[in-house]
Amino acid sequence: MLDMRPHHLHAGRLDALRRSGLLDRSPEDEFGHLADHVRDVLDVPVAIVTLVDEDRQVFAGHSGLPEPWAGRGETPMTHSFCQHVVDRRAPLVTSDARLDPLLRDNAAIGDIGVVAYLGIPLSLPDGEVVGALAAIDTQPRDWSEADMRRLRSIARTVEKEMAVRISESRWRSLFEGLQEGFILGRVVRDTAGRIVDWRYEAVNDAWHDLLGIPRGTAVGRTVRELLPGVEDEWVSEFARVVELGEPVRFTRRVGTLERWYDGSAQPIGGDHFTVFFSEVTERIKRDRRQATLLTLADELRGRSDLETIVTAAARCLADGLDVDRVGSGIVNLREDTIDVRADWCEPGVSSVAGRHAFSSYGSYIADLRRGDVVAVDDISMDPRTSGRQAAFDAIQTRSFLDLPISFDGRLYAVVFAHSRLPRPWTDGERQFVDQVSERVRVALTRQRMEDAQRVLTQEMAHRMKNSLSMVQAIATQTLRQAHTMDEAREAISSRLSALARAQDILTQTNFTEADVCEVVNAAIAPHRVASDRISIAGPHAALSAQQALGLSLAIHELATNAAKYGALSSAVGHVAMTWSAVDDTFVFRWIETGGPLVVAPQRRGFGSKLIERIVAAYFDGEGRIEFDPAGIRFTLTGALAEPDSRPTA
Amino acid sequence: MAQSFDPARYAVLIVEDDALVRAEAVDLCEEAGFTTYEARNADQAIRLLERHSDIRVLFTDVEMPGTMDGLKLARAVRDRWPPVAIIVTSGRIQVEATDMPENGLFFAKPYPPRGIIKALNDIAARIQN
Repeated sequence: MLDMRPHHLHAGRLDALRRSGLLDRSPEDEFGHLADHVRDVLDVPVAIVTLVDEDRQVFAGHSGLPEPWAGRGETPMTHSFCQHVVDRRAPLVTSDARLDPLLRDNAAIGDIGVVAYLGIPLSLPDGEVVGALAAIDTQPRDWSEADMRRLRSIARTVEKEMAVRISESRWRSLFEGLQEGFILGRVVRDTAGRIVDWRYEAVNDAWHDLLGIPRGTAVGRTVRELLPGVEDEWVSEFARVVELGEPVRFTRRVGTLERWYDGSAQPIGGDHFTVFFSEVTERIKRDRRQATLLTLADELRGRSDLETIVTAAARCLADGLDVDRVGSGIVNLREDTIDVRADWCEPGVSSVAGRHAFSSYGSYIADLRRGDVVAVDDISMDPRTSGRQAAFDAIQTRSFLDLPISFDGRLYAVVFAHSRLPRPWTDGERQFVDQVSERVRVALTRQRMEDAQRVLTQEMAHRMKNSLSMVQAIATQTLRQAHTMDEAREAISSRLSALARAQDILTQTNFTEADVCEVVNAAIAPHRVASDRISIAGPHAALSAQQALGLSLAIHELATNAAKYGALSSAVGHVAMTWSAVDDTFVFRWIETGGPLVVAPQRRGFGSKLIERIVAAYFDGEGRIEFDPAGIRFTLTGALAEPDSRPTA
Repeated sequence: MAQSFDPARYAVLIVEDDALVRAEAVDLCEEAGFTTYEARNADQAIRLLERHSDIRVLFTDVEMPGTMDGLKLARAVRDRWPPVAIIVTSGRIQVEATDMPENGLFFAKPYPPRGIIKALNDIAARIQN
């Protein structure tokens, strides 16, 4: 028996046969026609084109074959003469198989009635012999040379047809193997000849997958039948391809499928066209989210208040996600509620504007407080929301995504996206929301810095104006009482110097306060004559900016007067500055000794007005000058800076 | 100018928390012949207005410590003492026109002394007519 089925060993041949696609039935019966032709030419009752597979022979074509073999289209190996043609790679000729030792036991003799057999090997283009073309007679017959020649000739035609079929099959398997969808379409015209639809004549497997439509349901139907409500552009654009004879590229959505496609359509003559396309829904959504993020970045640039930032983030989510409702609300942490001001809703979805208690919807507020985005695919499945279905039903929500917006570490607002149906939030969508969150965070941080900067700049401008007002006051007051321009020039510039020295100290503390020791030392510095002539004693204490400027001016006035007429005008005079700060009471004393005899002045100038009234006012107290003949004394009694501007101990 | 014009009959209330600047404002107004009252905040100003009916002009800074700033004081004065003319001054870059009381005048700090005196004289002249 081994030698009966040596084709088993021909693995290469079987592979070649199976890959050729010839074993698949073809609707066109070319090989059957060629078998008819053999019957005519050789005048035999039966002719077959066989392909010898591993354990069967398949009729690629046949003519005159009795049932049931004709209907089955194949026989087992027990009924195969052709296997011997294939094994021998040479013709098999027998006048009467019943007398042939090789064939006499073959079941085909009894079952099919094969008596005389003439078989010619059939080769694939690469030389593998895969079957035979055979003429069969039910009577003994001596085959002539001419029979052999004619059958060989027809066998060559069969081989050419096989080659064509293989080539077509390769193209077909290429189509079927394509990731891209393929359509062979033909436009449908109305009675006026206008193109109103188009019909699917062929599609590949990928087409079904890309549209999510069961295989084998498209061919013969039109696009409007297959996809009711399909956008008109899907017809009008391909109509133009046919009418103008020019290919087009397209990226378009089938709304009813919620899918995007990108591809090209080519005219192929007449009313036919072909389309290659791929599904790009994810790419389009990603692109849209990216564009949305760019828009958000633009919107957030220069936004000034929290609420507009929140609104911009909500708009971004509305543009970037396909959901049924998007909105935002301001959170009240004490009440654990959210006030929804506005939301965008798809038709058929009602607004949720108003106040809602977080506790009605589950436990996820804890995640929001921590600043985490909450994405729930299905509220009935998520442990944070399960058991709250009634509350969610009332707001037509089955899945949602909440983006917390925090300010100064506190949850301030929530931007939300709701969907009526359970919906797995994709990685792309989650990343998108994270990016929105990040941009909002950056915008808020920048906003705070800009606010702080603006306040600082305004404050600086304000202080500068106040300083200029003081300069103006000093200048006009001095000029008002000066006797000569020289005297005025000298007095103004030395008073402004005193002001400037106090400003230097204040600059270090950003104009909030200054230590009294520093102020006193800086004020007296230009008037120091010898180290032992001026004594200074007092504790550290904080003065307000105005007090520092005022005390500095007062010391300047006193020292200038002392240098001209008082203790510092003689070689031996002495000035003692002492101060105390007990609770809020500040007492400052200037005591001159050892100078010339003091005479009270006839006329009180700006200097005395400054130290008695103006400086005292800065301390909310009083200033008193005593013209003691032994030396001038000045006592300032008042309060220290306002409690809120003093440093904490 | 009317013969009977006597600015001393019209008192100016100066509200300014900086004593030095306030002292200069007082001298400026007195030099122009007006009687002056001084206040360092809005509360003091209101008390003075309640006591002295000769006050016909409020000359106030905007930024002041206390419960009311100068603009609030100006509005309060416009409500309670409608005939009192109002001059507002500030070191801030701008004071919005909508924040100003009706017929109020605004001078940015440091203000021009002549401008202030002219404004005061105009007010006095208007009162007289």
